[in-house]
Amino acid sequence: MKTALVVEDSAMMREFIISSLSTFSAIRSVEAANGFEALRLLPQKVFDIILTDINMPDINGLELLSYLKNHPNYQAIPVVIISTEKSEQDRKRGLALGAIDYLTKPFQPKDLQLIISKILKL
Amino acid sequence: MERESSKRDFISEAEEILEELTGDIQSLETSIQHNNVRPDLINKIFRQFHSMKGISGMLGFQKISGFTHELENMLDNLRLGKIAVSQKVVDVLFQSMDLMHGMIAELIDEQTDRIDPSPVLKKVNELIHEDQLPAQQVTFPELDLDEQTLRSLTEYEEHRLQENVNRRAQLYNVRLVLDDATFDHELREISDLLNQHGEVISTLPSFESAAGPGKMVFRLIYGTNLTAENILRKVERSDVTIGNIRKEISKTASQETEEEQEPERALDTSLKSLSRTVRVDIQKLDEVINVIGELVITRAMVANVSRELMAAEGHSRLGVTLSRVAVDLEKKLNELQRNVIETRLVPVGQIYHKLGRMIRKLSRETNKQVDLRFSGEDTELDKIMIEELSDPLMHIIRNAIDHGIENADERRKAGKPERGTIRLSAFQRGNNVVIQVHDDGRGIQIKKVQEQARKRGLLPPDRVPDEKECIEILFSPGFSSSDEVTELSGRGVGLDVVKKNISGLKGFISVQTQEGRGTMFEITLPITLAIIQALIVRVGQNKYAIPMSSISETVQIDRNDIRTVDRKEVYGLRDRTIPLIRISEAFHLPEKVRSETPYLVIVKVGEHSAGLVVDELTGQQEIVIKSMGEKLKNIPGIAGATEIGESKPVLVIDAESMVEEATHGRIRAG
Repeated sequence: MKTALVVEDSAMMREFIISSLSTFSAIRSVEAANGFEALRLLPQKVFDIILTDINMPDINGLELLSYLKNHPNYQAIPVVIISTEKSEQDRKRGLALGAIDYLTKPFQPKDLQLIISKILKL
Repeated sequence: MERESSKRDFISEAEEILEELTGDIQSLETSIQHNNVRPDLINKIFRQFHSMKGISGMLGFQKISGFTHELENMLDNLRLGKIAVSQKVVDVLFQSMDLMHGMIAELIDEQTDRIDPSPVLKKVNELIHEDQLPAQQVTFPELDLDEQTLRSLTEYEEHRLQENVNRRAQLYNVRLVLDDATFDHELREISDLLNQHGEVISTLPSFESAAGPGKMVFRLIYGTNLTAENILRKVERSDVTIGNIRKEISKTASQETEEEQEPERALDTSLKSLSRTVRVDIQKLDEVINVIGELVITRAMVANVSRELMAAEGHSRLGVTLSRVAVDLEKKLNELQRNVIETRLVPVGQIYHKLGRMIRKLSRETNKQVDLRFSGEDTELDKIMIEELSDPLMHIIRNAIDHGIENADERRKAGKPERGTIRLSAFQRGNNVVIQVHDDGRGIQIKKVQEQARKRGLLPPDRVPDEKECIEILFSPGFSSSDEVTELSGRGVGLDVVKKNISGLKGFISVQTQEGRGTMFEITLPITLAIIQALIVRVGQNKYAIPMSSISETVQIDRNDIRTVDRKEVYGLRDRTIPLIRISEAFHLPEKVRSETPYLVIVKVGEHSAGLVVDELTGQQEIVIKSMGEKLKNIPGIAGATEIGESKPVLVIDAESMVEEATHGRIRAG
């Protein structure tokens, strides 16, 4: 069983992502409504993959990503960033910071499923 | 029906977002007027449109996603400083709100052709393309920020950093070492404080093993005019260190060595999301309330059985035990009920936003300057009632602006400030919530009301009504009409409709007015409609339930003391003469009051009282009012039916219309 952490401030978007992930019986999703919640959850559980939105209040996705990639416990976790199609710069920065892949909103469940199955080899 | 359910979720989320947006756009407008626009507010508005676009796009609601996409673009340009923040932008945003409300209504009705967004889209595109500010080169040679930190900045944060550099603000690196358990609250508190004196540009969580276990380190990039010393003084914390970004050499986390393992026990604590709320369809809560209502009846049956058992067998052990069980059950049910009802309550402030938007629009249309003051936003009321309340409140406010508030000229002559004020306040009074709408306009002009009423045949030519009567006329059907726009009738905003809506919510409305000084409408509502306390009374063989909220007292009288005035029965209670109501007559039923010493249930609605004559008061209990179906709907005097644990349902008396009948005799005409 793999565990995914979904960090997204919009409740409905979060649900959309989680229901897209639910097609994989081997994935269990844990959700965080903002960066602070993600920081709290990280030490509590071993995550196999993290999906994070970029535009969030308090701590944005790039800041979270930067923290993850510099933390010895978390730097190996693959991180997929979710951005708007508009902000190419944010996307490039995310990849430069060590994100494994990205998704642009709006996306369809199959786009997400494709990326996830590739990364987790499902 | 997965799509149906995601559509429902979308609509409820979208409505939430729109409500919040309306408030934020209002704040934006105010801040433009005061010349203190906060960049994070624009970013927040951007994020909300961004969410709307994302979700609607994924669910295939093309019209909404296409529209919000353009607005997102505009706001992106706005937050990145590519276009200037102006009243024009705010106007477009407000127009967009109206359109989006319309599009959501379309979605609900499965329509797509009612709303045409193209005129607004044209304005959005004009703003995007015509008002572009010169692009700014973004480099920070003069700043001492490491590559890692620079990469963690989003485009927006980078722009904010540039802005701060441009306006020659001091830039600091504020390092905080916070406790694991409380870092989020503390960080928000500190950020709020810092934002009052500058701008927190970036919040970077940072891994430093030296900080020790149980600690989290954050580095904030902060632009301000304060000195480092002053910042420390404001923050008043020992765990804060500050460095000027030009001097500070930030440590990169890669220099850190091994760190201590997190304690094992933390591993299996919780997988739950930390946001501890769930969203529930109100219909589900209604179902729960219904079941509770039925349990209340079951409890009453248990209590009846225990009473019968004790009566039949003396105080047998079984009977006593059962009655204890019934008492216990009652306590637990009350608790359950209270808890469920609490979940339905939402703050009145939710509709304030909506009303604010309308007032803004109206004051512009009528060219009157109106300030809006709110109080009691936190007062809680049943969600359903909040929804039902917004129309009547809009009516009242519209009237206040149309007819109450004078134009600037007139106000100046009357020695009033040029800007009118509408105050909306809400507070709890006992088991009721009171909402007041107060305007400082010209007040209700009694003479004009009289003229109008005569013209409309609501008043015989020879009668001179007092002020109280005039105000009642305002609420009568036919006083205002939509076919004739006069100074008083306005655009067909009928206060009779307002009154009907409010009494539909088991509430009542009253008015106080003073010529030249202003008018106050006061709406009193029960906190919830779901479960109400009722007095059960008997007339002959029939039982009725009367909502406690409308009862002011009960008295036992001698039937010989009932007098007849003007062919109407009355009773002299202390110094007042109270009209009486015979339930049997009102409903044309054969069962009549037989008692020599009947009871009067005095019901009070606003200023008026009447006494219902009954044989016996059989008890007080909580009831759930059920509607009686289409055919029996809207019968004056009946609010619905309920079960009280006996073989047949009983009727619930609608006190308001009963009192109307007793004081005006209007109801029976129908």
